[in-house]
Amino acid sequence: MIEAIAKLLKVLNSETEPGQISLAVCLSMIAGLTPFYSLHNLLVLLLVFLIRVNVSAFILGFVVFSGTAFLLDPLFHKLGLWVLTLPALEGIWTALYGQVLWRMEGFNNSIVMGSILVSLLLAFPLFFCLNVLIRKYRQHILEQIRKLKIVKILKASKFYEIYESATAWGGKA
Amino acid sequence: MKKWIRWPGLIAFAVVVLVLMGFWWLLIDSLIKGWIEKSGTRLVGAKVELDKADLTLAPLGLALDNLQITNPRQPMTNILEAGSIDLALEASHLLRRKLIVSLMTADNLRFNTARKTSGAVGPPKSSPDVSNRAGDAASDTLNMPSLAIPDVKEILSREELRTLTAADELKKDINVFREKWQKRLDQLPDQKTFKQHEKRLDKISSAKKSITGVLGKAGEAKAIHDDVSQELAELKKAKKELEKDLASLKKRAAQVKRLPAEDYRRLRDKYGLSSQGAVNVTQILFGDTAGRYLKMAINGYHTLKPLLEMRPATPENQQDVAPLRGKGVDVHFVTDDQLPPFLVRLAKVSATIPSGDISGEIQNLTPFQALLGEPLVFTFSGQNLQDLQNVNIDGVLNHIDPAKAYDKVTAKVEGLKAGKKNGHPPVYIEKGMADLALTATVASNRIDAQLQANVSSASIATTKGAGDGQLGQTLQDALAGISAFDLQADIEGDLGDYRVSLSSNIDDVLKNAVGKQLKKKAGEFEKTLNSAILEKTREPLAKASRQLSDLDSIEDELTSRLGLGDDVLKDAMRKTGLKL
Repeated sequence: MIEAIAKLLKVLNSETEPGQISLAVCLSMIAGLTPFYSLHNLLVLLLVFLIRVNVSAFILGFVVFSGTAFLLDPLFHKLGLWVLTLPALEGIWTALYGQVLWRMEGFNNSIVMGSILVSLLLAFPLFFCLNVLIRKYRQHILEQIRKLKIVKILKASKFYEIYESATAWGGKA
Repeated sequence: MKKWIRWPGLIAFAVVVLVLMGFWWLLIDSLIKGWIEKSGTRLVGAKVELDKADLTLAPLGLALDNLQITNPRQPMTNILEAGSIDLALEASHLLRRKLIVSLMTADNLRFNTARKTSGAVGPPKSSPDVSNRAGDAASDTLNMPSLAIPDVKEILSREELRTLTAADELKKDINVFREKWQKRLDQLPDQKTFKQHEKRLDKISSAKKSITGVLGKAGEAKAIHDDVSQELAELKKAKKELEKDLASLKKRAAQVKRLPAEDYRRLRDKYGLSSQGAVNVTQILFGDTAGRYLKMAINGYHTLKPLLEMRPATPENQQDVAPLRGKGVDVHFVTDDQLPPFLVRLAKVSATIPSGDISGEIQNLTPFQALLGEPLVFTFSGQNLQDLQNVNIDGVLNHIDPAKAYDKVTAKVEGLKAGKKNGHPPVYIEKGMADLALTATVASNRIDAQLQANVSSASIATTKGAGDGQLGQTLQDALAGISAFDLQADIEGDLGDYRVSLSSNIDDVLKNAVGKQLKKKAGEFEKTLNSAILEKTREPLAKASRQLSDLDSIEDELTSRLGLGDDVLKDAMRKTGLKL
């Protein structure tokens, strides 16, 4: 747990672009909230490798969102089922249902549909919100935190050693 | 842009994907095995086990080794065990998440094989409540009917005669009637009442003949007349009621007198020696076996039926289905390509039954007939088997619309070696050669089946208990002389409560053989029984009759009181000289 927090702080405090961190979190949210063995997660993985996003943030986010997904499954199921059974959309779903690619995606599963909708809807606002928050954190909070006595004490503790060693996990995050 | 893209990531991605595919290829067989076992177990409700699954990509196919499906009602038995199953899969549909098998070859299928460990996955499932009247009855009446004359005394000590019960009830009712009318008589005007009126009349007659006296006399006479008239009306009403009640009792008494004849008929039919009852050997020979096989077939049908009537989730039927955690439910849409999620277009099967190997084909094997719109069709045949020369079975299981499900099976068996060296005593078929023709349909949960069997080269064995005395010997001789016979079995009724009727010309042969002797014995028995019943019921009936006659005295009393009242009324008019 300490290692995970340390890693998060390391990422936040690094020189990495906020967008790289935010995008990593957004992608991790899609991969984490939706069923792992889905075709779209292959695309997410490709994006993570191809786009210069922060991999540490992605992995951390994925772990957190995967845990949350289990709690949110009933909600995803209800939402997905509602969307899939909407008479107005039946034509679209029927057309997609006839296509191999979409069947492989498993869009007609209530949890797949519900979780994709939620994660896509949240991805854009989350990206911009995180960008703003990370900038604000670095501008206003980071320096103040460094000046706190407790931080100074912590720097002398084992936690700081871990924090320092976290450099080795993410490289130049 | 360059800042955002890292091209080496593509290589990393490719490596990761290749590693994942490698793992998939290494694990896929185990995953398929696990999926089949898990899904099968959930579907059947008992353990489904597989030794090995092997997926091949070119051509796309799957080979399964030693599939065992536990009987959910008998966890120590496999309902089916398949040595090997090869599936040729249609790749295009697999990508659409549909398992469409163009050809399935199943070899070495065996049924009802023993398991080493229990295959139960939950509480044992009870068999549906299936009862057949002929089969159950057959188990109870496996002994040959005795041809000895039944003991009438014993019968009468065991059986309750309706005559005696009815006579007792009648006597009780007569007593109640008497008490009721005794009380009523006490309340009605009697001799004493009318004497008082006479005294009042005498008083009027001796009154002064003045004007006031005459007027008073007229008024008093009118009052007496009114009183007597009212009392007479009461008596008449009571008499009418009495006559009605009495008529009802007499009617019942007449019915009770007819009961000895009814008791006689009932006991004669139950214990009598009718040729039909004495020689119903067909039931003894085949009733038990027919019942057992039918129960087995119907239990199998109950297990199979739900597997033919599954429906994938559609937008319409998904609202109430609770999903498994993390799994959700798949909603299916109606497309031009209406194939079910699982379908075996053609299955070529070779199976081992106790008599040997049979082979056949099954078309349209799917639990989702409603989606496919085609019924399951099967045909099996076998030649030169251990116990039979030829067997052909074909049928259709149509559950496209479960509400109108219609299943039909026809079977022809030729040269079936029937009989056992040590069959059930007292009568059993020792040997014989049978040709069977079966047609069975199940529609709307009702079974209608006919089995015609022609047995030749037969030998029917009897043991002790097959009958006693001369008649028993006659019966055994007749059975020993039968070398060929026909059997007709008709099964009809609800699947949970059907009737089996068995008939055979064996019974006709026996009826002819023992008919005369049986008739004579039956006559003796009937005569004795009738006399004994009449003797036993005579006294209770006579007593009831006497008690009923005694009730006439009540009617006489009422008639007498009415006479007295009339006299008083006439006297009043005479003595007063008034015309009222």
